[in-house]
Amino acid sequence: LDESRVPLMGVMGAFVFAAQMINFPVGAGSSGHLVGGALLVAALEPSAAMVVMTAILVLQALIFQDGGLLALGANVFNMALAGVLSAWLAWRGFSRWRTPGLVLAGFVSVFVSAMLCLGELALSGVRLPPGTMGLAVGVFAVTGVLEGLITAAVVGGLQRMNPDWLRTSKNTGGPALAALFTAALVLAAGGFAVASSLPDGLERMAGLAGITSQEINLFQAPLADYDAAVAAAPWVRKALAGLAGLGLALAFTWLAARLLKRPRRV
Amino acid sequence: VFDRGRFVFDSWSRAGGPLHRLDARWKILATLPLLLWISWSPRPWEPCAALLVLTLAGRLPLGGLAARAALVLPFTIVFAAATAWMGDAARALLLMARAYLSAYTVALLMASTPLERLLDAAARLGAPRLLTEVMHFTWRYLTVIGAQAARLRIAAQARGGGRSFRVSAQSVAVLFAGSYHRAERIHRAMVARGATGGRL
Repeated sequence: LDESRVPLMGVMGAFVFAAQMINFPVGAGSSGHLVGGALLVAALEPSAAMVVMTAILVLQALIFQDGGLLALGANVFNMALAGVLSAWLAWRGFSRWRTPGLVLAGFVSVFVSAMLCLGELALSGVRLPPGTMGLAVGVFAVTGVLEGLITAAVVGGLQRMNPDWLRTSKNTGGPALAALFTAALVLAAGGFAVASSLPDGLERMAGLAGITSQEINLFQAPLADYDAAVAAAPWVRKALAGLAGLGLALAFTWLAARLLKRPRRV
Repeated sequence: VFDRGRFVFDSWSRAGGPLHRLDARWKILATLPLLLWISWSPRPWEPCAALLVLTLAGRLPLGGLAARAALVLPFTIVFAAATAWMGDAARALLLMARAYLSAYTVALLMASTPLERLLDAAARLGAPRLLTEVMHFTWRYLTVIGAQAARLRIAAQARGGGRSFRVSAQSVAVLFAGSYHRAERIHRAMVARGATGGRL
């Protein structure tokens, strides 16, 4: 990554913020807006898209009181890492069918992030009333489809204006493999959310594996999200959750930086 | 969407005060234990009192900060309501208090430290330069690109395309084009002023 990419990445971050001001009518008098992960994947390499999304999340937490510092680790993991990665896999796997590929990329980027967040909330001790989990999954599925449609429409516009702005998928990884990967990610994230919402699922699983309940507490702690505070367990667990979140953020940014340092075709 | 309130930290953080004069690195390092204290203390009024003392001692606008921190509440209320409905009202209240106080702590940090100083301090504490540089650029051009987005939206509405999916998509595409060209101009200007194009 040479210096010329830094202004581009920074301005793209500002672009994603600004693009969220533009509303998309989605029927029934309501409107939605772009989240941006999949669009960034179509315009930048995935590692750069991850850094841009991370920058956006940190700024949102600092300036707009959106998210929170202790939840930043989990947020960065859900949206910047898992969201962008799954979008990239879908985009690349389905690149020979461009529009469906983009719709799918937009869908998974939102859906996977949302499912991971729901799962983490459930693990951290938020008990959602029965039935709401299904509702939440449905809402996020609709949001995901919307993101996919917006992404595909915007990329279509860009294609007409100047195809050079978009990356061309190299088709080296094998589309079947990437498709499989994407499906696995969606299933895993959905399964994670649903399984962790079942009250005893985790403990039964842990019991089968021969883990004592004391260890389960420690085991769950690193996954606690938005206000580790919600958890009823002793303070150690909450402290661990916060620290693990920050640690995850650090580890991730370090990893992304390492990836970006590698010489790469511009 | 781009209300002026979003940039209110810029004016607060440039005022003079005892908290403003502290090294930003110390403020970052002090925020961490404060947040941990908030998130595990069973008595939220203790960190609340500490925050109150800090705000008054730092001569920062208490009402303004309290209003900024309230932005976190709509999100929290959903989960607090779910928890209360499941029959744990005390925990729901605690959850709200903790989320609010955490947001207030961040607002306190932001109101006493200009963002560019905060990012520099984070980089000197070991945060990846790449990430802080990107954030510098994002923050610098947020208002510029945001103003263009507002113009695009007004133009679409003026031409009767305010409620059209296709027009919105094309507006975002035009916004992308403008951002891309701006990034190229910025890079050229950097090279013209002696940026070496080296690796970060």
